[in-house]
Amino acid sequence: MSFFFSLSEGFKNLRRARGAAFLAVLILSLAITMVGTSAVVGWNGKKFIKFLRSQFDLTVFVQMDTADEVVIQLAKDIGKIEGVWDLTYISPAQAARKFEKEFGENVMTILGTNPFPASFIVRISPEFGTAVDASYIASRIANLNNIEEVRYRKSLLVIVDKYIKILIGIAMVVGFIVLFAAVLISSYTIKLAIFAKRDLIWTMRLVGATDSFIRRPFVVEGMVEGLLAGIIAVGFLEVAYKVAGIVLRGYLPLHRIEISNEIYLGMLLFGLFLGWFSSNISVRKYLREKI
Amino acid sequence: MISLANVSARFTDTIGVEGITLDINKGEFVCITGPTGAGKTTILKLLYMDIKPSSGRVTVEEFDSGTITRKQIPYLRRKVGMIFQDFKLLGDRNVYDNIAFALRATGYKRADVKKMTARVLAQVDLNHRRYHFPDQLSGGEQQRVAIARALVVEPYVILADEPTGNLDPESSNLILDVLISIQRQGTSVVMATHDYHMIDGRGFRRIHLEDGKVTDDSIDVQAE
Repeated sequence: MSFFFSLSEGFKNLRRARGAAFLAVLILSLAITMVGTSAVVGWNGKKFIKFLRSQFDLTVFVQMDTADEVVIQLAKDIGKIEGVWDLTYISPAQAARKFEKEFGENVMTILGTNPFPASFIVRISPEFGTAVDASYIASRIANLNNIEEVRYRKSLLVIVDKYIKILIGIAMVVGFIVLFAAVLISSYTIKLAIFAKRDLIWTMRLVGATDSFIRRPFVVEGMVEGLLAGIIAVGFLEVAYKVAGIVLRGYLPLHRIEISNEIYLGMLLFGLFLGWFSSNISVRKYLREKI
Repeated sequence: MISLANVSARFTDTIGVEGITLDINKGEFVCITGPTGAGKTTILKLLYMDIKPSSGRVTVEEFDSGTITRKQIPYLRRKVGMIFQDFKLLGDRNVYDNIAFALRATGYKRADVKKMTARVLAQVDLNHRRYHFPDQLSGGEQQRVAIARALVVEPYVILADEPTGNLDPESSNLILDVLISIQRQGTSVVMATHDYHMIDGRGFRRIHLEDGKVTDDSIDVQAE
């Protein structure tokens, strides 16, 4: 009985105070849209960082005249190092052809011999694409036998790391502010909606309903409002994305920005959470203030 | 058994009641009289533990103001039915739902809610108004709904704070008759009122307050 009472009262509350419920849903949906937009920016930022890091590689030069079987073993050893994504073998002959293609000169004709050693282009997993990890992987490769030299763009990686750190810091602060604002706004909105139903709460207390019993219909109401707000926010973000795609076509590469289903699902769940959290806290606080 | 033992209730800048000692037995009809500000409502609030005494002890059945916890207060209130001058009905629910709400909010089963609400509606003679909303009823009818809501949980005592304050004399007498019939069925009734004429000659126990103190506690002589 109590479960069904809480459910039915929660839905009745929504129907009875349509104006307050509409306002709460509207404000909650704006708050969830703010959080959703931050998530889209964060998600795509993360994707971009991963892309940047996946572009990073090391060039490993093998000592001249190393036997083929040794080179094969080296490829296996390098492939086993943690953080190595894949590697491409470039034979001395391939290196010479590449030189000819780029500079228009045949090195064999000029020098009479091929000066290029065998080498590997080693790509690092995006998760290991920091300056520290790259340096560690490079030193492990350099310590293998028959390795002449390991080259990579360390300074570029240091700069990328620095800017990523700054961007993550800004994103975290902005994300926290947006999240905090969303919780605060929704708490105040639901608190107002609860205050509008103080007669109902008063009557429930008068007849001897326990605090948890009083709370439940409001929590149901808050969660329904939160879910509705989540659905509206998803629709709002999708429409805004589509409209921006049409209006800004040719100015911004919006087609590269992805709004994943996980973000939409997250927005719905966040709406539910926001409704549950705000109503729970607000009713608890309201009940605590009165005997 | 209800008792107040040397109870005082002081507020920030006023004294509600001071040094009140009294016992109310099961099935008793007690009128608390006195001018505005004498402490009538404070006594009722102490009984349903909306406020706690600054000193002394209030006991209602097994509930003691000195030991009761916040979580136990709802269980006390299920034994104490309350009625107010302004009825305090839920305007967006009909008569039946206003009464049934008291049972639903305290976890009664659906079948019991139906049965108990129907019984109490008959008791206050409002069966024909069960689907009406409060604003479609007269003041007297609204107060009968409030009485039914207080009564439906079968309380030990009904506390009525100026229940006839907003009613005409005819409706007031009707409400008083309903309260008397409740008392005759074994439920104690404690009614705060300043309408002395209405209770004169009815044979009620009358506790008179002045400035928060009991100045008289006597049984009214019943008129022939």
